[in-house]
Amino acid sequence: MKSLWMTGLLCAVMATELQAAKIYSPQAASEYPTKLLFGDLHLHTSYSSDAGMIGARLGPDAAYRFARGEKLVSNFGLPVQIARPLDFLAVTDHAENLGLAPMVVRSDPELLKSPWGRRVHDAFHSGNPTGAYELWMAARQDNRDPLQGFDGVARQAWQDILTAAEKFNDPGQFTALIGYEWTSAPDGDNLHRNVIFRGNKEHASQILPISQYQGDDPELLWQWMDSYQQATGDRVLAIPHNGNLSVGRMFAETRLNGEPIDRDYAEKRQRFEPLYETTQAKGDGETHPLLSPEDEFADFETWDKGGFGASPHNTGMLAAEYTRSALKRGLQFQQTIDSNPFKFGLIGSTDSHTALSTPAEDNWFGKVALFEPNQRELRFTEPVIGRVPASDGSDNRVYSAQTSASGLTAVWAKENTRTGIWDALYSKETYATTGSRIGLRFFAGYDFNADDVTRSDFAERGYAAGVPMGGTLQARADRAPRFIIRAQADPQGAFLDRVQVIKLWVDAQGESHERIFDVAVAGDRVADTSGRVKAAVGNTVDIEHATYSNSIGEAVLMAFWQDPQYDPAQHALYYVRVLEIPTPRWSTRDAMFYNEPLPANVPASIQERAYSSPVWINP
Amino acid sequence: MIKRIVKEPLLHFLLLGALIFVVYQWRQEENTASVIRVDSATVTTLANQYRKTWLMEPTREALQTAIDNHVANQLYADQAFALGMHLDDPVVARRMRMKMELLSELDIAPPSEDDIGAYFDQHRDKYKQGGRHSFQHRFLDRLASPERRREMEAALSHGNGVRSDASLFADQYDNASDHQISRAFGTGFLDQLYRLPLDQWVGPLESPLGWHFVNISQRLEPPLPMLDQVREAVVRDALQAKREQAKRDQFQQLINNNKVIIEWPKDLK
Repeated sequence: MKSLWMTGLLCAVMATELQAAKIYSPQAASEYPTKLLFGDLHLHTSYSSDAGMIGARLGPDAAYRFARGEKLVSNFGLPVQIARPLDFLAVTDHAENLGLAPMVVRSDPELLKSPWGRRVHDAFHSGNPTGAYELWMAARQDNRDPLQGFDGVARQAWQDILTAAEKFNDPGQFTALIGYEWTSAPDGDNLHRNVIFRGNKEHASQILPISQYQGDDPELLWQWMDSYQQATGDRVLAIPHNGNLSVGRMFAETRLNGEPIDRDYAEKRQRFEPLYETTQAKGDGETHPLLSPEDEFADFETWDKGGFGASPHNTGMLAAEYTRSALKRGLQFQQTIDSNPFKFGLIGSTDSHTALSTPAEDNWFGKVALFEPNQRELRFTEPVIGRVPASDGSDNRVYSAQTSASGLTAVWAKENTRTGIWDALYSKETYATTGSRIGLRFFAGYDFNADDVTRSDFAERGYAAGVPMGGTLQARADRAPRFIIRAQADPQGAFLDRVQVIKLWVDAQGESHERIFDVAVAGDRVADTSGRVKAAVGNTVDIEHATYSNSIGEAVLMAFWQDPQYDPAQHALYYVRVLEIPTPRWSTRDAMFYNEPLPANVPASIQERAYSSPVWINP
Repeated sequence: MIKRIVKEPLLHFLLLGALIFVVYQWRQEENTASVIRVDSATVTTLANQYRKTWLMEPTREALQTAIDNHVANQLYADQAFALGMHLDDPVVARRMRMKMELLSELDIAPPSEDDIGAYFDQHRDKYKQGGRHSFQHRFLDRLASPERRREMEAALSHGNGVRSDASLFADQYDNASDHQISRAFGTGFLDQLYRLPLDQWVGPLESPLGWHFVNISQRLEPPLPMLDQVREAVVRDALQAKREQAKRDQFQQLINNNKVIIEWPKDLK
């Protein structure tokens, strides 16, 4: 009784605090996000069977230590350290037979209870790790949980992962987010999702991650997420893996079960999947040269040969695989069913299977442990896609040299904590980068003026008179939306080439369109009448020495921009793309370091970039 | 006759020879034929394995097959070991090393209070949280002329308000950690900051992105933490250190008990 009374009193005190409109301390009074934080939301460790069974021996502990700046020894014995610590990291190991490899290595009694587990264990320990891996792969291909009825293994592994996250989470300095990957891949077509938790071990330890063995339809995952939230009071969000390997399925025009997309589906997808992984090690997914023929920057780290399975790929599938076309599709749905299933913000992550988040061209430790820098026989020439020949006989191989040293997630957060970062993710105040720490902030509204770009209270003004990236504006008949944008080079990296606004919209006939505006460019280049700057910034890359110089480009670029062709009746969205000047690709640095020829299937230099979450206009 | 024969030295010799032969044969056999003993515990284990794999009771025949298989494995292994086949097998070597290393970690007790204290004393610097700075900041574009830089310097030193050029830098940093400052301004900037006096405008400092004026109101030098503040991290690291030490000790002992000779090929480049 007494405790009830105390609770009541506490609630009353808290309510009073909430009601107090004026806060004396200016910093505490700041209601908008002031912290730009960089992190990785997709990283595997030895606890993922497709990592731990093939060479990755570093676990979740190592992943967090590395991200926080500790020097480690890599899976294949190289000293490795991150150039700058991350601000946050989610270890997202595959739920399918979570922790199999470490349990095999340590002869875990829970694993040995299962006859299948013992077989894998014995194969591994009798000097046949490949046989052990193949046993697991065979089970995966049958899509039957080989450890069915032996929950103890996953339970132990999940506890290990949660314990590591709790151990290294350091509110204010470094956030260890709890997460896992649900690895849906019908016919080998990649529909993976990373589930990111807002809460702590006390919440997440009440459940076991759901896996593909329970079903491969994302709607099942959402149902699971819903039950989890109701059972624990925690919140979760899911981030679909880059759709470039989904063989036309990630943003298909129907649900996975073949039914048409309806409002209920669209609203659920919006609620559970507010973000999308637009760039990562297995290629960049912003857009494809065939989808955006006018965009000279569209062909960037392109992987368009299909998924991991035998499904043949064709160009008709591209529109359902790339960010830009998916965002356009979303607008079309908004127009036809009055709800947008593809209303997502953008993030980038590595998806490395090494426990080492290294999306830097001069420090890339590979997509998997077998591609670490000293693995010279495999580092450039091993097929990653196309290990299974396409059923139509086409050459579907993509090689290890084509893996991308990408990407990062940037968030504008109020604080560097689990809740601070999760809330920023949920509100889509995020952008993706292909690995460098480009600074980007913009606001869209109707009352901005050119002067606002240079104001010293830029952000305060932005939030007061508009919405930040990830927001939605109601269309106004009397005025086109206006944008104030600031972009800043990575202080340890390359200068900027340009800032672009990319507009997507749907016309009255339901056709979708895209248009690029160069709103700020380095140097004395000027935009043509269509708003484009076709002249390239130049290229200072010295291929032989794998260096570049900031003698071109600009440190800070800013813009005030108003849409010159605005139609208030149209569903539209705008996102910002920032391009760096060309820098040496990781393969170029490799070639220099190991004195080897450049791989022929990739460019020697690339323009790293940032992609913001869009701002949507609702008519 | 018999008496004579019994006394015959040749017979003595032959008998002695036969005895020696028999004893020798007998001893030979005892020395070389190794005994493969499948004890009752092993049979029980094999039976249990069968039950777990096939989810039924093994028949006598099935059990016999499992035992035969076990015996065959053992025989081959013994023979292979006898022939030294394990000696040049890198997989076996790696596996044995792994087992040995695991062994070295098995008996490690959690670090005692003394261990934790000692580890903390030796590594106190590692747990420094870094310093903190609070400062006002004005930014000038990297292309700002020397005149503009001088003007800003003069204005600031006379207490006049000046506006930053547009950037994503803030005008005010409160209690910013070393890591936050390095991340925002690039490496090298922090070292400059630590050398600056408090409560006056100083600048321009150069960063890769442009020119910076700062007025530091507060500096907290990196404090040496108390053990209780960082206890969890120290326990974590002390245990890790013990593991690594045990592994190193084990290796050291091995290398001390052996002599390693490396014969470099003469024609090696």
